[in-house]
Amino acid sequence: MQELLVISLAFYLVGLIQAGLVFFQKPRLPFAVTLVSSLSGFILHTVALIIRGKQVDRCPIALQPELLLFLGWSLAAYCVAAFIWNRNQVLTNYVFPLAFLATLIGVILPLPPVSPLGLRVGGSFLFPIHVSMVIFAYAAFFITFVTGLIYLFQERQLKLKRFKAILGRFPALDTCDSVGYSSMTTGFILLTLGIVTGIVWSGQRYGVYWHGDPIEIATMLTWVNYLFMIHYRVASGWRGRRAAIVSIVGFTFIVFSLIGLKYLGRVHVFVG
Amino acid sequence: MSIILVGLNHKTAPVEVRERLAFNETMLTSALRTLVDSGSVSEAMIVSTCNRVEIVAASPSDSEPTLQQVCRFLHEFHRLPGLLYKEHLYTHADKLAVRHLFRVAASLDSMVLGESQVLGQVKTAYSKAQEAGTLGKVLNPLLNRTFNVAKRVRTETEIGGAATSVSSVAIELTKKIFDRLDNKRVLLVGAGEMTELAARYLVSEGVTQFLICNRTPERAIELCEKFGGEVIEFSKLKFELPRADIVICSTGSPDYIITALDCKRALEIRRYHPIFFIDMSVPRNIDPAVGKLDSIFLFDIDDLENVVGENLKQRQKEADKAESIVETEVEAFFEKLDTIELGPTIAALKEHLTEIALSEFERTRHKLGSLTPEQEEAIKQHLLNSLVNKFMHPLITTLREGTRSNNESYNIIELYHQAYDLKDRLAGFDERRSGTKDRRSPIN
Repeated sequence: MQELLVISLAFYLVGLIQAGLVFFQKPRLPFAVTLVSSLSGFILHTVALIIRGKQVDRCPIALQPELLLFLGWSLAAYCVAAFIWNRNQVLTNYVFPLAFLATLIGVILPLPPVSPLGLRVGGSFLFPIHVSMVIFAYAAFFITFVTGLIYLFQERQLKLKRFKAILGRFPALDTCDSVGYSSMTTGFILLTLGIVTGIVWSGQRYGVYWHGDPIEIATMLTWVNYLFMIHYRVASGWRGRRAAIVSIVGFTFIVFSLIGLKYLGRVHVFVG
Repeated sequence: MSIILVGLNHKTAPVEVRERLAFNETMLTSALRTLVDSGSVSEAMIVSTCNRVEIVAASPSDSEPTLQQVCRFLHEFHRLPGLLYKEHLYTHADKLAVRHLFRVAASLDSMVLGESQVLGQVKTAYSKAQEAGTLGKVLNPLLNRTFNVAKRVRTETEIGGAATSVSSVAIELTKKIFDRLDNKRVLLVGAGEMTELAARYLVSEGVTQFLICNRTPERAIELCEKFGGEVIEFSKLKFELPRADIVICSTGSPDYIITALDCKRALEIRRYHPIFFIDMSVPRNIDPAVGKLDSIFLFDIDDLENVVGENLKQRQKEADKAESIVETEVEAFFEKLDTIELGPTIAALKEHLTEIALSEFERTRHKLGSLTPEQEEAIKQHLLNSLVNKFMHPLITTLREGTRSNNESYNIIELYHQAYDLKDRLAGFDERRSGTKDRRSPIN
């Protein structure tokens, strides 16, 4: 499994090189090369996750490195999808490096061969759905966050009439906005599913639906934040700068929940 | 063999002169033929554009008289008396000529530094000369090298990178805001030359929907016929504002035509889809406060011209890099050229010397006693061959140096002295001779 991951990392490296070339405004690699390499990397990554699942006999998304590996996989999944869907290079150029990074850290962190905790969690199929939905949603929000940052940076440069730094290097503002919006809605739907499955699972297992731990609260805040944003976009056409700011705020909640999971892990219900 | 170049460009000659010395396409072939048939040059090519005329030629004779002849040809062909425009012409020979040609093709000599058209024009000139059959073993490799140099300069420097006209800068900025322009609606306020030019650029970027607004509707209708679109009454401008993604404004109005309030309303109606404003009028027609609104981007003529200035500065910086590429390429070209020129001579010399060596070997063969075939082969292959090479090597090196420095006082005795380092030996002879004299003197 580890070997497969390393090979898939090597494939992802091509995407990373492409991103560097774009950033430094050098001639790019041909589209087919990046597509084939990222797709191969993604397939190997998928196979590796499946193997890991078989080895530990549970859904392989519970421990820190596993979460990172899955995060990397999710980001790569969005990139590959965007690639195939509309040959959108925006995602791949700015998200791929992070897919690579998440996977790399996931590979480097020591991975216990068998699950030390009683993580088979009552045999319920809901728990793996809960975790994977939430992570998958986070990956989507991450994309919204990145496009939001690029939007804000470029918008500021344009307003200040400093053009040199931006011309050519970044995607157009409306691309950032539309990519950000579609990944936000995707993320929102997934997060909703993730929260619902989490609540139901918790109810099944503990008889309590809501524990009120910090991670639950952060997740709910994230959800409300994005709900608010989608509402205003649909109702009164908020976009551009405001959308970008909200997406960045939303992502800070996510970062808090992810860090919280590491340090306050004991507090969140599934470990207990 | 010399390479020469005679020409004039926008720096040395005003347009009245350039147009009188230009060659149009129909006369180009006959001009090339006339020049080569006159016998003053063996190969020729003429680049003639609105900004320059360049005659590149190769001649077996010296450069100075050839340059004179080509200058005269340029006047005679255009039926101009004497050397009327001599002071507008520049003349270059050999390295300077090659460097000039490289610089022209790499757009280092252009009015707009780094523009890409000139390379195409040189290429056309090349194929014209090819058709006329006036290219040969010097100009053919020279032009191929020229195209390589131009390509190197394009790829290794960013001389052609940034936009250098107000309209193209405006388009680049538009592309920072909108991914695609083909589905965008453009509002032109004022139907003057500036807006028309901008519209033409936008059409080339795929824009098809125009709204045209002018105080006098006739002119607006005229533009409408050219680009398609709708004419809008001037009084209804602010109501049409929400429909526009890009607004280009250039009128003679002394006050603001579009205010921040208009834009605020427009944005609400548009649900905050961005609007890109370009105000090319002086005094400005769009309230600068508009630019502070979210989702609105406003640039005036100064902003655009600042970008143009920056970009030109950037190109100037890149030009220095390009110049050094040209410099190294000029050197490389001449090195290659020498080998091409000397190649046949070297081959003939080697053949000749090898023949001598072999026949001498055959002549003395019987004195060497019995030799196995291997030994015989070794003598032929290694001994004789290396003798010939050893003998030739210094001669070739000196020949190359001699042709490169291209000095006219080409002294064959000097050449041998230099090649085989004979000076010391000769000095030794002198000493010995005087030594024998000294010994004899007491006897006498």
